[in-house]
Amino acid sequence: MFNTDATGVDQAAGMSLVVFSLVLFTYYSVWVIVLPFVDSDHFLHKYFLPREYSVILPGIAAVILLICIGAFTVVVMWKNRKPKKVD
Amino acid sequence: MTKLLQWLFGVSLLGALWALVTFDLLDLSLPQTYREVAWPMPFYLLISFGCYSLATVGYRVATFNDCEEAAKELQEQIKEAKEDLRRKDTAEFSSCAGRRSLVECSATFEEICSLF
Repeated sequence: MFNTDATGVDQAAGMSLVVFSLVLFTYYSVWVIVLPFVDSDHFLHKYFLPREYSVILPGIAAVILLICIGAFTVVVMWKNRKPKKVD
Repeated sequence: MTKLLQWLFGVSLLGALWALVTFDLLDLSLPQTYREVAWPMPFYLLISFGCYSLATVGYRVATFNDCEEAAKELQEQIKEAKEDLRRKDTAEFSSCAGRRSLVECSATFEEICSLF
């Protein structure tokens, strides 16, 4: 009666979310907090974009996210309003 | 309201500290690296909060349980209630006492419907 396949997929999805957030947090921490204390000719600098991008990229991501949330809200409210007008 | 004021106070304190270090308002002659670390701090905190939220959601999704035992128990209770109703030959709703906890469990609506 219970869909046991879903638990496996749910577990994989949840764990991948956790792993993704941990990787992102670690990478961003190293980028923002550790790199200024590392010499500029160190090999570690090859794996990171210039420092300006540590603010520009999250800014772009935030703008895209806000646009998506706004579009979603508008679509949901627009769909909910239509039947009210019919009544 | 006091909670809001507390938060505003904390945020303004942190903001003042951040401005102090980033723009060197008191001429503390801090090393350049300190200021370099300090100025993306608001974005860093935002990203940290986002990562924490994402990890929490992921963890809850991964450890979401199905309460199969509770569902079995409730199915038993529903069976009992149906028999009770049949015996009484009435349609009293008071016999459906298991309903409230059935909703609390993660059993789907279709499963509930298929039992009646």
